[in-house]
Amino acid sequence: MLSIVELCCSLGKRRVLESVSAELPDGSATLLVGANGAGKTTLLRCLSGLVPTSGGAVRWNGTETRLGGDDWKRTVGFAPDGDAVLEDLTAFEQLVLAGELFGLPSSSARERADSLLAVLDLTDRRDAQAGSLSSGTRKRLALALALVHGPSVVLLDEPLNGLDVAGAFRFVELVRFLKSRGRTLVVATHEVDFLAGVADSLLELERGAVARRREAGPQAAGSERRAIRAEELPWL
Amino acid sequence: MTLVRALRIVQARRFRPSAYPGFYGNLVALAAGVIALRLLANVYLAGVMAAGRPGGEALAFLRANLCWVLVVSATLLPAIALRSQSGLLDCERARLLPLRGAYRSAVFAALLGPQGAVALLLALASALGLLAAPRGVWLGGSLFALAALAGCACLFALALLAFRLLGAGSREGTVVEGASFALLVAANPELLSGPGGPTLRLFGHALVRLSDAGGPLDLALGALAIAVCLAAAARLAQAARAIQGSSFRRPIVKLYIRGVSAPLLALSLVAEIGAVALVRRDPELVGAVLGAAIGLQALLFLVFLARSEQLFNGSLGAPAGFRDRARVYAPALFAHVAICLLPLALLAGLAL
Repeated sequence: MLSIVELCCSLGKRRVLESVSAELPDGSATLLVGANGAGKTTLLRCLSGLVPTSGGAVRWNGTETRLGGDDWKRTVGFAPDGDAVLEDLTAFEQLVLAGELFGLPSSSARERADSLLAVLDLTDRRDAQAGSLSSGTRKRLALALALVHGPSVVLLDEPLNGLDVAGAFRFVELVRFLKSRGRTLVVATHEVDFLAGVADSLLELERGAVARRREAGPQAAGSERRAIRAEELPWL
Repeated sequence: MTLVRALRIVQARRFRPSAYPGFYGNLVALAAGVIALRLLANVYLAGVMAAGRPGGEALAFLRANLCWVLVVSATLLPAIALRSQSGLLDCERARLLPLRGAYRSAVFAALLGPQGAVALLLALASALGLLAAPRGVWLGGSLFALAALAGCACLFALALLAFRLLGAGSREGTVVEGASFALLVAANPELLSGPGGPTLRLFGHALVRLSDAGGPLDLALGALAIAVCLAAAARLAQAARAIQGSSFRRPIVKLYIRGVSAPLLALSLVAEIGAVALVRRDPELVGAVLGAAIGLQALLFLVFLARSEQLFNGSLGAPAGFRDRARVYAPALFAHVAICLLPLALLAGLAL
C-alpha cells in the first residue's frame, strides 16, 4: 500500500502541491487527471524523488519512506513525459545499462532487456541508436527503462503521448499485467476515456490540491464531457 | 552541412536563423570564444613586451598568466556546461538557464568593455553561473568547477609548451589564438557540425582575419586549415565512435566512448608522445607536457562523469551510493586509463 499523506511541494515561491493525500493499494492503477498545470507531473516527480517535497510524507507498506533515497529508488520506476532515453546508446544497450545500474548481473540485465523489448514490440529497433527513434518508440523505450529493475511502484507521466493505436492498446495490456502482478501504478494522463476501463480510481487535481476522488470506469470521464454549442463558435 | 551547401541555401534565400534552434546561442558562444582568445593574445603580447623592460618581467608574466587563466576559465567553463546540459532532463536544463544567461551577458559585456575588465567580467559571470547551478545536480556543478580548473591548468601548460617550442616572435599571438580556438571548437564540435556550422566558420574566419597579430594571409589560411581539420575530425570522430562503441560489451563503456571528446583525447595522446620525444632534447619540458596531457585526460573523464550524472539524478534514478557509482563507473575508468596509456605502452613496446 502506498500512502501519500498531505504532500506539499513548492517550486521557488510558488506552491505547486497543497496537502495531497491518497491511499493506493497494491495491484491498483490510479489515474491522475486535471487541467494543465494542476500538479500531476509535479506529484509524480515528487513521488519519484526528482523534486524535493516541502511537507507531508509518503508511506510504503506502513513505513515512511525517504523519497529519493536508494531504497526508494529500487522500489519505484518512473517514465517521464519528456525524453528519458540516453541518445548515445541503442535501445538494448540502455536497458542493459539501466539493469546494471540497479545492481542486476549483466546476463540477467540482458535477458530482461530482450524480454521487455519483445513485450513492447521494440525488438526490430533493438540495435537502433535512441537518438534515431521516433517519439512513440522513445516513449515505449522510456516505459521499458522504468520497468527493467522490477519496481513495485510504477509512475507514468502521459504514457500514451506519441503512441500509435497498436502501442496504446499494448500499453493497456501492460497495465493489466502489472496490476495482476501486484504492482501499484500511478498514471498522469489526459486520455481518461481510453484508460478508465483498466484503472481502479481517479484522482483529480486542481491547482495542486485533490479536487475529487472517484471510482474509475467507462463512465469516469463523462462529467468532463461538454459538447460545444453552435452559439459558442458562431463564425465557424 | 558543407560550406557549399550553406552558401546555396543562403543564395536561395531559404536561410532563416530563427528556424534553427540554438543558432544565435552558438553564434554568441563562438563570438565569446574568439573575443576571449583575442583578448588573451593581446594581453600575452603586452606581457611579452613588458617583460623586456628592467623590473617589469615578473609583473608582466604574472599579469599575462592571470589574464590567461581568467579568460580560459571564462571561456571553457560555460562551454563545458552548455555542452553537458544536452544530456540533462528538462527540469535540470531549466535550472541551468542562469548559467547560460550569465554566459551570454558576459559575451555582450565583452563586446562593450575594456579588455581587463571584460576578462574579469567573464570570470565573474562564470562564477555566478556556477553558484546558480542547480541543487539537484550539485555534483555536476562541482564537477564543472573541477573540470574548469583542470582545463585551465592543462591548457596553461600546453600554451607554455607552445611558446617554448615556437620561441618568441610576432606570431605568438596567432599561435595562442589558433590553438585556443581549436581547443574551444574541439571541445564543442557541435559548433561546427550544428545547423549554424558553416556560418559560424565564416564568422570565425572573419574575426581571425581582422586580427593584427600576424600577416592577414597567414591568419586566414591558418584559420581555414584549423576549421577544415576540425570539421573533418569531428565527422571522423562521430563515425569512429559509432564503430568503436559497438565493439565494447559494457554499455557504460559505450556511453564513455561515444560521449568523450575525441579530438581532445587525441590531442592528449599526441602530447604524451611529444613528452616521450622530448626526453632527450629538452628534459625540463617533459614534466610539463606529461602533466598537461594527464590534466586534459582527467578533465575529459570529469566531463564524462558530469554528463553521466543523469543516470543517478535523472528519471532513471539509479541508487547513487559510493559503491553503486564505483561499480558503474569502474569499467569506463578502466577503458579511459587503458586508452590514455596506449601511446606510452606502444612506445615502450617499440623501445624494447
